[in-house]
Amino acid sequence: MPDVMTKAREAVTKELDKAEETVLKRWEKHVNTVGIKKKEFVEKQLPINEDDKLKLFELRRSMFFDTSDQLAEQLFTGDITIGEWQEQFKDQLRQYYSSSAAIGKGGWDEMTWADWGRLGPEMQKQYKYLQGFAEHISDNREDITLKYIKARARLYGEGAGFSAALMEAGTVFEALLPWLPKDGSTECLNRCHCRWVHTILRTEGQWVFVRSVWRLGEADHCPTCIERDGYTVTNRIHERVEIPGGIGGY
Amino acid sequence: MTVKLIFRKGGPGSGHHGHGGLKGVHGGSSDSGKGTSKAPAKPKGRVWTGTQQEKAKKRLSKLATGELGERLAMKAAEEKIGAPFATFNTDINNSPIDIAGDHHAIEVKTGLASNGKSAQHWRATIGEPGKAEKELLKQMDSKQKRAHNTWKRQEILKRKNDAVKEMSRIAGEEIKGATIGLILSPDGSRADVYLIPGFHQRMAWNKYATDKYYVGTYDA
Repeated sequence: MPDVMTKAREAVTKELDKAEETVLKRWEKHVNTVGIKKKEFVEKQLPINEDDKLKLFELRRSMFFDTSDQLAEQLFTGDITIGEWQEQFKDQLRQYYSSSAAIGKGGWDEMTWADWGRLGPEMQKQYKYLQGFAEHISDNREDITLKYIKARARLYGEGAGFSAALMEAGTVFEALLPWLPKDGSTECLNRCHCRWVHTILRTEGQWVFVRSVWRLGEADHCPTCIERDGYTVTNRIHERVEIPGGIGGY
Repeated sequence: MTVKLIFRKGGPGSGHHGHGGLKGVHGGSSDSGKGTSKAPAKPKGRVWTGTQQEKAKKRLSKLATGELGERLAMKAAEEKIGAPFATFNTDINNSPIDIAGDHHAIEVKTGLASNGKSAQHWRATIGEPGKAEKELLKQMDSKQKRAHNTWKRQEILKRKNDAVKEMSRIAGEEIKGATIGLILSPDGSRADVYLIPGFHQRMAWNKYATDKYYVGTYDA
């Protein structure tokens, strides 16, 4: 004869079966009347761990360079007009900067509405630069060289590292640190490969003490970056804030 | 014959937006010079700031809190996902999901910003026991009751995931289980809404009521 525990489980199972059955009937009705949209997009993979971010960013950058070179050639040979080139390049920029931001954040699924919002002003800035670039090509179409168009287009490839750094920093570190890599505060501008390196010093209650040290990356360094090398800031961060291992270096 | 002329304000391209302008700054667009619409309310910020808030004089009942939470969760889900949602738990004890729509099956959990530190979380509940279960519980000692409730809690969680699989089969598309957690202001006038993938036994606010899951703050 079943004991009291078994009987109780049977009673619960019966009740859960009934609840599930009712919900599924309601769902079937909902699907048949209201319907559901067919998915039109492919789910994106990730998350990305800290060690893979740089490799992934470099891969994405070389993809962007291939496309920007190709577009420059098409423009130069007259296969596409300046307007078409500008629109296609703008679309590539949007994709590339979004991917870079997602890499910095650790994956597409990690990006929040607020993160996309923070990327907005940076994109607007790039589109403005692109407008200037297109006008320059138009004004100098007789003399401009393919080499120049390619080289200038590639500069946009360097700038995307800032969107990755911005996501790594989050709103908290962006506000607390005196500057960010590739933010334009150095002579090397968006070619800066320096990085803030973080060390957690200690925890006191709900506060975490984090040391951020400016470290030079692998590049030719400008005077400001050299001067900043080793610059240290210690901040008290709430435990709820995610602390990245570092910021920048792209 | 009488001819009636009807003036409509605010039609497309009319430039009438019902405001009276700002004195000394710029002109308005209404014909009277007086605004016809109220000034936009200042943004109020989030309800939950990480610390317990003072309890309201008139407290919301558990039932009212749950109902309000579910209504706001539907509003937020419809707005963010852009598809109609429906309630699925009416008159069901231990319903595997609360609301669903499009590719989402959602459990709704509501808490008050006035909750003490030990209650600052969303927790899976095991619902009111049925009549038969109640009788059997009376025959159990406290150890047995604890073991039974632990099993029940796990079984409910398992059933939620099973139900989502079955919902996917019915829809012919992958349906994802998620939890919408709400933190209501003590008077129930506003709520922060968080969307968290999957179903969970317990979600502490210091870990889940964060930017990562934040959807928005809604007026009740």
